[in-house]
Amino acid sequence: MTDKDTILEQLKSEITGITAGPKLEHVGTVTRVSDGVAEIRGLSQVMYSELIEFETEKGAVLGQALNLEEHSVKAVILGDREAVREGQTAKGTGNILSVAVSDALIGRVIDALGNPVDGGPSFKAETMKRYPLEKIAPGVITRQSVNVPLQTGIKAIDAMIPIGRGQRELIIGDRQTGKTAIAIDTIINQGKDVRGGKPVICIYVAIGQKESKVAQIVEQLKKTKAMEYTIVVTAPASAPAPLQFLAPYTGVAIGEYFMDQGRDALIVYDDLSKHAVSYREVSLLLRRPPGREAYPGDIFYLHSRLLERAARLSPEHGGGSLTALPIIETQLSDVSAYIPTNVISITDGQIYLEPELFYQGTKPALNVGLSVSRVGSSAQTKAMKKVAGTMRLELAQYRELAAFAQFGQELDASTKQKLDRGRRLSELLKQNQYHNMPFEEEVASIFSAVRGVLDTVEVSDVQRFEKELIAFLRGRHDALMKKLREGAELTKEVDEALKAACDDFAKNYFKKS
Amino acid sequence: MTYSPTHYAAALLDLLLSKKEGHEKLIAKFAALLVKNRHAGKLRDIMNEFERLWYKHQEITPVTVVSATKNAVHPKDIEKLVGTKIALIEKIDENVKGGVRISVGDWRIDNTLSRRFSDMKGTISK
Repeated sequence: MTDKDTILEQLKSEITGITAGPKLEHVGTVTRVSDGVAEIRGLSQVMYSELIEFETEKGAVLGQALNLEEHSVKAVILGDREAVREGQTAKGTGNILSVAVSDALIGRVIDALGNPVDGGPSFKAETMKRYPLEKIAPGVITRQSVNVPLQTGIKAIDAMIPIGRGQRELIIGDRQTGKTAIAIDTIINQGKDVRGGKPVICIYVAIGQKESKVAQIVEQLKKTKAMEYTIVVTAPASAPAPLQFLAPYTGVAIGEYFMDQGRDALIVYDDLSKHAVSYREVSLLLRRPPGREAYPGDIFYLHSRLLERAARLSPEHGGGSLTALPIIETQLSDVSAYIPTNVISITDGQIYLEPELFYQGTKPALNVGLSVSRVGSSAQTKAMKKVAGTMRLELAQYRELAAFAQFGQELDASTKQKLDRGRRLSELLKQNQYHNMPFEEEVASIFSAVRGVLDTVEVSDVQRFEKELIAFLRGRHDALMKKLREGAELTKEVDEALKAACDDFAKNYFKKS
Repeated sequence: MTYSPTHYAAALLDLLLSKKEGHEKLIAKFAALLVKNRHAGKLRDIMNEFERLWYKHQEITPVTVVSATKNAVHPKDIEKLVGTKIALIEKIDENVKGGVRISVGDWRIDNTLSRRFSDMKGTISK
C-alpha cells in the first residue's frame, strides 16, 4: 500500500466515524450586549451556570448563563467580548462550566478556563478528566479531622499558628505587609519538607494581580524548583471580571482532582478581596440588587462554598486533603470591614499581619494576639507543641509589659526577665523571605530560646547565634537532628541531648566572642 | 408598580384584539404612554414579547428555515412535524452549502452541509 493509499484509508476511517445525521440544538438570540454581559432571548431550558456558545464571525465564543429570567437569559462573556453582537445565535452546550484536569497541569501557568498561558504546549483534552467548577463540598461522613501538619517553614507560624492539612487559614493584612510572601514561602517549603515520598501539590491562584507580579512569582517558583509541584492559575487585573470571578473555582477544581487521588494539595487564593470586587462587578452588570458596600446578597455564599471545598478526606475516601490559604487585603488595618469579617468567620483561623510591625522590621509581621489557628494545634507535632507551648503566652505578656516599660518605671526582676526573654524571642522569630527552615531546625531554635540558652545572648546577636547554633547542630549532632525529625517528638532522651548540645555550643560561642 | 415588557405587550394585544379599527391611533397613544412612563427603552423587549403573545394567541408557531436554495422545504411537511399552523420565515444563505437548518422556538435542527463539514473538521483536527 502506498503512502497515498494509507492516508486515504485513514481519512475514510475517520470520516465514517463521524455522525452525519441532523443535530438538535438548544438556541437563543442575542438581544443586547453591554460590558461583557449578553442578554439572550430563548434558551428557555438552559441550566444555571451552563456553558453557552456564541456563534460569532470570529468563531465560537464562550459564555456562562448566570441570570435565568422569565423570557431571557443573561450570560457573562468569557472570551472575546467584542465579537459578540446583537442578533447572533447563542447555543446551549448542556454542560456546566468545567476544567480539564490531569497531572499534566503540574508546572504550568493556566488561565481561569484551564488554557495554558505560559507559552508551553497545549493540553491533550482526551487524556484529561473534566472537573466541574461548581461542586458541593465534601460532606461530614467523607471527612476526617485535621491532624497532619502542613509545615510552612516559618518558625512563628509553625510554632504559634500551626496549619493542618485540610485546614483553611486566612492570611490577612494591609497592602505590602508580606501576605503573598508567606504563601509563596509555604509553597516553596513543600518541596523541602517532603513526607511520604511526594510533595504537596500547590496551586497558586492569582486574582486581579498585576501580570508583572505573577511573572515574578512564577520566576521565583522556578528558581526554587517549586514549579515542579505547583500549578499557577492566573486571572490578572487585565482579565475581564467574569474570569477573575471564575479563577478560584478553577483552582479548587484542580485541587479536588489531586485530593480525590489521595494526594495532599495546597491552594492559595491571592486574593479574595479582589475576587469579591470582581463578583460585585459581575452582579451589578447582571442587575442583581446591591446590598452592603454594593456587594450582592450572596457574597458570603460565594466565599463559603469555595472555602468549604478544602477538606481532609477519610481513609475510606482516599485520605487526600486540600488545604486553603485565602488572602484578604484590608484597608487601613480594618479587619471589621464586610469581606474580611465574612472570610474570618468562614476560615479555621487567621494570620494577621500588622503594618507597624512590618515597618519596625519584624518579618513576618505577625500580630500574635490577633492571629489564631482554630484546628491546627491538633495537627502540631508533639515536639513543636512542647517547645512552643508557652511561647505564645510569653510573647503576649512581653508585648503588654513592653508598652508599660516605655514609661521608664522601675521594674522588678521577674518583669525584667520577661521583657528580656520576650525581646529575644521576638528577634528569634524574625525570618526573611525564602529562608524556610526544616522542622527540626525550627524546634531546636525555639528550644534554645524557651530553655534559657538565649538569655545571655545580646538581642542584636540573636540571629547570628541561631544561625551558628543550627550549623553546629547540623555538623556535630546530625544524628540527634535526624532523630528529632523522624520521631517528631521531644522525648526525655532527645530533650536532654538537645539541651546538652545547646549548652555546649553556648559555652564555646561566648568564649569565642 | 413597574410594568414589565410582558405587561405592556399583553395590554397592547388585548386592546388591538378588542378594537377592529383605529389601530394606528391606538399604537400612537401606546407609544406616547411609553414615553410618559419613561419606558421607551423597553420598546424592543415589548415588541419581542408582543410577537410571542401574538403567535400564541393565533396558535401559530413561527418557523425559520435557512437553506442554500429557495423552497428547500414544503410548509405542509413542517406543519406535520410541529403539529400546529406555522408562520414560515425562509432565509437564503449560500454558506450553508446544502441541506436545511430549521428553527422552532428555542430548538434548532441543523442538517446543513456546512455544519457537517465543520464537525468533520473538528474531529479530524483532534
